[in-house]
Amino acid sequence: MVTNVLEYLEASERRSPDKTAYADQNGSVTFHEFADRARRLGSCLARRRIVGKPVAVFMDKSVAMIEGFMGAVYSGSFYCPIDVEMPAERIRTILGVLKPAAVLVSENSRERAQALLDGLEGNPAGKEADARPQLIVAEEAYREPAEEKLLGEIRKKALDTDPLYVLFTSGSTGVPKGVLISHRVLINNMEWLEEEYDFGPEDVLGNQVPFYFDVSDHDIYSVMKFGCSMVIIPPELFAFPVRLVEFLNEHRVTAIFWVPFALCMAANLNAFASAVPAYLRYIFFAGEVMPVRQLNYWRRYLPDACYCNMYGPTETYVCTYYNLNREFEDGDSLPIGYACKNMEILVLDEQNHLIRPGEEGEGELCVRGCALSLGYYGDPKRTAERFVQNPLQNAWPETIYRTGDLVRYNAFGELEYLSRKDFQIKHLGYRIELGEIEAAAGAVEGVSACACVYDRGKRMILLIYAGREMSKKEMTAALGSRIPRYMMPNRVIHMEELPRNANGKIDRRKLEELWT
Amino acid sequence: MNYREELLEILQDINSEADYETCQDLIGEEVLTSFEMVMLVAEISQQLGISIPPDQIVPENFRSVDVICELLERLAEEE
Repeated sequence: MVTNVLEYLEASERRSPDKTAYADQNGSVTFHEFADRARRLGSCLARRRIVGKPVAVFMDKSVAMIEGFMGAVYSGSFYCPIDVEMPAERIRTILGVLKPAAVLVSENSRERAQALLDGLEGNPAGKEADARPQLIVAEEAYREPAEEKLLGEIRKKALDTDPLYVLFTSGSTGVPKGVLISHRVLINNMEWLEEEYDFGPEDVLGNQVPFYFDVSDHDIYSVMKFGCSMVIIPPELFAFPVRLVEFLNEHRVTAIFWVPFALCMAANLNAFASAVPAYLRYIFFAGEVMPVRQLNYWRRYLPDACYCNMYGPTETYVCTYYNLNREFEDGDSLPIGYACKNMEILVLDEQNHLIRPGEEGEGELCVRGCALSLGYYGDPKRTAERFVQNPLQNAWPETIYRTGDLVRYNAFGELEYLSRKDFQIKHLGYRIELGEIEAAAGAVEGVSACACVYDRGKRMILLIYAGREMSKKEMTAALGSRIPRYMMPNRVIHMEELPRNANGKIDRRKLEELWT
Repeated sequence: MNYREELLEILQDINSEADYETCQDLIGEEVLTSFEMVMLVAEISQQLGISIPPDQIVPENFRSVDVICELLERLAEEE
C-alpha cells in the first residue's frame, strides 16, 4: 500500500533514472537528478530540525520550486507554495497564519524573501530567536550531502494522513484560508487517474496552472506516478496562439490540465487556424465553469482527444468528473458528472434531505470520503463550520464537507452545477471571495462603504463604493498593496450612496441590476 | 488613420496602472498579462472593427503602443 507520495517518485527514479522528469525555460532534470536534489534539500532541512513542520516555498515558478516541495516532504514536513507576485502585505498575512519553520528560496528570490521576513510584525514563529523561520537557499542546500539513514528514519514514522501541503485560498473576511491536503488525498487521486485513463512514460504534460493552485498537482504528481514528463509553458504564450501551438508541438505535449479560461483564450484567438497541437490526446479542465462554445472549438479541431471536466474545491480535491461522451450545443451547461472513486456526493436540500439521481430539485453539493482536506490550517472555527458531521449518519462520527455549491441532477443522472450559495466567484480560473476585495477596499482611506459584484458575462469584477471620489488609478494603486493582480476590480464605480435593503445591508441584487 | 488615442483608451480601461507612453516592452516587462492581451485583441476588434488574424498575434507586434498602432494601420489598409 502506498502511503507517501515519495514512493511514486522513487519508483520512477528506479525504473528510468535518466529520463526527463520536469522541464522549464532554464532546462530539464532527469528523475535521478530531481530526486537527488530533493533528498539533499530534505536532509538539509532535517539536519536543522525542520521535521513535520510547515515549510514556505518562495520561488518563481520553476522546476526548482517542485524540488523544493519534495525537499520539504523528504524532511517529513509539508510545503506551502507562495505566489511571489502577491502583494507583500498578503504574503505576510499568510506567513503570520502559517508560522513556517523555514522559508525555502532560490538565489534569485532570496532578497525578496529576506525583505518580507524583515517586515513581519513581531515574529511569526514565536518570541524565541531560534523559533524564527530559517531562510534556506536551495542552491546552497544542494551542496550538502543526502543522508539516506536520517531520511529513512523520518519516513518510517510518516502516515498517509499526514499533511503534504497547505494552499492558501481567498478568505471572505480578508484573511486567506490555508487548506491542508494529506498524502492520502493525492494518492487517492492518482489511483483514480490510473484506473480511469492510460497515462504512461511516453506522455508529456504541458503545465499551465500556477503551483499555488491544486489543479497543478495533476501535472506535478502524474510525472512521479506514471513516469511521464512535464514541461512548464511560459505564461505569455497563452496570448500568442501560433507560438503556443508551436510550443506544444515542439515538446510533443500529449496531456493538459488547464483552467477553462486558458482553453477559452486559445479558442477566442482562433489558435488552431493554421496548425493544431498534434500530439494532444487528453484535455482536462477544472477550476471554473467551461463555456461550451469555446469547448466546441477545441472539439472541432481535436475530435479524437478525450475531454474531461473535473470538479472540486481544494477542500474536497477532485471529487467529480465528466468525460465528454456526447455533443453539446453552444450555451448548454456542461455536467460535472459523477463522483470519483472512493468519494460520495450527497446533494442535500435546505432540510438536509438527500436528493437522488432522477429526483428533481436542487441542493448543496456535499462530499464524503478519504479525499477530504484535513481542514483549514490554524483555524478550527472555520474548519468546524464547513467540515461537519454527516447529517444522514447518526451511528458514528463521519465528516462531510459542505461546498456551498448548488447543484442538481439532469435527465441523464449527471450532476450539474447551478450557482454559489455565497459570494465566492471563479474569475480567470482563480477562486476569489468578493469579501476579500471588499475588505481591502474598505481599508482604503476615504471609502465609507463598498461592495463587489461579478459580471459573469463580461468576466469583470466591479467595485462599487461610496465616500471620497477617486480615479480608478488611485483606487487600484491603493488596493495593489493588499490584493493580488487577479483580484483587481476591472471597473471601479463611485456612488453617492450604496442601495440598502430593509435590513440595512447593501443591496447586492440592486447593484447587479444597475451595473451588470 | 492613426489609432493611437483610441488604443491608449482601451489600454487604460484594461489596466490603468501602466505607463503605456514610455514602455517599450509591454509583454517582457509584464505590463500586460496574457489575459489582458486577449482582452486587448477582443476590444480592438469590438471598438475599432479590426480583426487581428492569429498569425499576426505575436509578441513582435505588441511590444509597445507605437508597434501596435503600426499593426493596426497595416491591417486597416489591407482591409
